Amino acid sequence: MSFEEKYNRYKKSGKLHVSDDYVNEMAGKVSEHISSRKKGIPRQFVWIFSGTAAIAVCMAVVFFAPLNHTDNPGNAVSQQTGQPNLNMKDSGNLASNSETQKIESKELDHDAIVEYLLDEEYEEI
Amino acid sequence: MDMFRDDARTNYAFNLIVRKHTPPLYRLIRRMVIDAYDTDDVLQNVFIKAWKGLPNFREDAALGTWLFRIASNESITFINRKRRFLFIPFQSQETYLNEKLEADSAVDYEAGEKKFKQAILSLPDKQRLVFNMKFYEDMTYEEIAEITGTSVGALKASYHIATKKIEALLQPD
Repeated sequence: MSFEEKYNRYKKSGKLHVSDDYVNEMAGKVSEHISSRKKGIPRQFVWIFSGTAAIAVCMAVVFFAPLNHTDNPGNAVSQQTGQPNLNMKDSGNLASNSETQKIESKELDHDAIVEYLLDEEYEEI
Repeated sequence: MDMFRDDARTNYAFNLIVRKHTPPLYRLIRRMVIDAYDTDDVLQNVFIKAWKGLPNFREDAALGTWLFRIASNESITFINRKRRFLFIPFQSQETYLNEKLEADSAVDYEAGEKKFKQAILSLPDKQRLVFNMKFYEDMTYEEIAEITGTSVGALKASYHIATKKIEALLQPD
């Protein structure tokens, strides 16, 4: 007896019935999908626009992030990085700040300070 | 196809294609992915791909055969994607599909038939696809060869091996 003959009853009962309602529903879904794709913005444009926007956001974050640092300009050492705070434009006199002097004596990188003092930007101040 | 190429009647022609081919494609996909909702998704994808590909369809094969080829590829791709996404190792995919079969409340299987279906689920995906097309859909080896791109000899061997595996699993302990 062949395999088909032996299991013929399962073959008959295993036939899945697909109703007309289901066929109509599927035809409707597909038709809707196709017409919405025709009217809408092409997918590649959506990717290009969203990609450009994402890159712009990343660049903005990178560019503006240092401006958001809340280091007090008077502090000689950056509270965030522990490095000499070279953002001295608004700081006034470095030596006049007693707190700065305390930190300076312990942690300042003197070479960096000297380098900064020789900087053109300092001359302008 | 002539109607499809006529711009004024393209949508209508495609609607007819969908209506005509939904039942056999649904059966094929359902037997592969088991879950009814997954079947809907895969079938919809098949028709969307067909819509995109139909303008370039050269009619080397029958439209039905071409749609079956898309459905077979989509079903296997879907299963593989799900396996990767859910981190289902190959051994437990059978368990996963068996659970889907158990949860399928739309069909009330008798005990013997359920065992038969579970034995089919133990086959590798491509062998299961060939078995379903031959056993349930009564396709010829030539038709299956055209759909799967495999030789008739290899298909005969694959089907023979599949039937032997199923029979072995159905043997009482």
